[in-house]
Amino acid sequence: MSDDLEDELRRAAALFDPLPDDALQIAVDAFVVHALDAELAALSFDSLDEPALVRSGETPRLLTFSVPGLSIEVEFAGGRLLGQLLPPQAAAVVVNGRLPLVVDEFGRFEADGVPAGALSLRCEVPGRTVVTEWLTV
Amino acid sequence: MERADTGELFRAAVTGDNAAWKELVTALAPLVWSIARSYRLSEADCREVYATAWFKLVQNLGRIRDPDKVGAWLASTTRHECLKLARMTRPVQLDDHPAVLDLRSPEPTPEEVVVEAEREADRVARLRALWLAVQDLGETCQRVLRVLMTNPPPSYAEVSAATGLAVGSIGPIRQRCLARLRALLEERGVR
Repeated sequence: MSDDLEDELRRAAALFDPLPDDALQIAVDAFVVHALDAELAALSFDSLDEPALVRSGETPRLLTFSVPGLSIEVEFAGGRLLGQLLPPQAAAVVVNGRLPLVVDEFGRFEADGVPAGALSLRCEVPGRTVVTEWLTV
Repeated sequence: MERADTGELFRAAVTGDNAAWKELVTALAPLVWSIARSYRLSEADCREVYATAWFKLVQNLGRIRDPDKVGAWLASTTRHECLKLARMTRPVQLDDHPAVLDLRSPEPTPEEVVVEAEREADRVARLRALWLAVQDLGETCQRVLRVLMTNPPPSYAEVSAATGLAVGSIGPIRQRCLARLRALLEERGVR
């Protein structure tokens, strides 16, 4: 019976190729990061686009996200994230909707233990909220 | 398992309803994952495709014209991300998942330990044989069956968006692929 066979296939898929444990959370977090009232900062520089650099876990990934009047520079390597707001200013930065960071008065911030994968930063500076475009690091 | 009304959930999510988004994710995450897996990408690439599809949906919340087709939109986006990655990387077999790689080894996987404890060893052995047989079907059959196997089951419009095949051809292809699978199982003496 075709219906029985398909039921079995569905069980086989669930058993041998299940949805990863963290998959639901990844998609839920995507929504949290995206504030409906936030401005989207587009990627304006990516070291991966530079011909000299290859994609490797050891080479730091350098990224710049920009909206008019604000740039967010990010360096990511091996779970460590360093960032700089330009022009320098105090702000609140949240990584992937879950990890709040302290930003000093010069606009610098850092975080350890950021897993490789999707990255988006949400920055609140006086008068505006900016989220960076999703990117895989 | 019946799937929730994704159009309704999507409409609520667009207004900022977190709970609705969560339900939408629960309803459609298995579909996005199945599609990524159906393109024979590595586990890591599947994860990337999966995440990217959801992020694109979030970034296009206000631009989806027909909320009732949000599943098809996600399916089509997932397919395009898969094709993009497939062009950049070497395709791998659908069976690179660790649980599947273990299929041919005598060591039971953790899931199997649990299942076998429930005295369902025979059933698991049959499911395993079925799964291996699917890997030996042609690419289209593998893909169509993998997407159709999603739980909860997708609509034909979504399968069409996921595979690039016409909606009207999904039913006939499904029947043909199941017939091939049945023949293969018979050939192998899987009962």
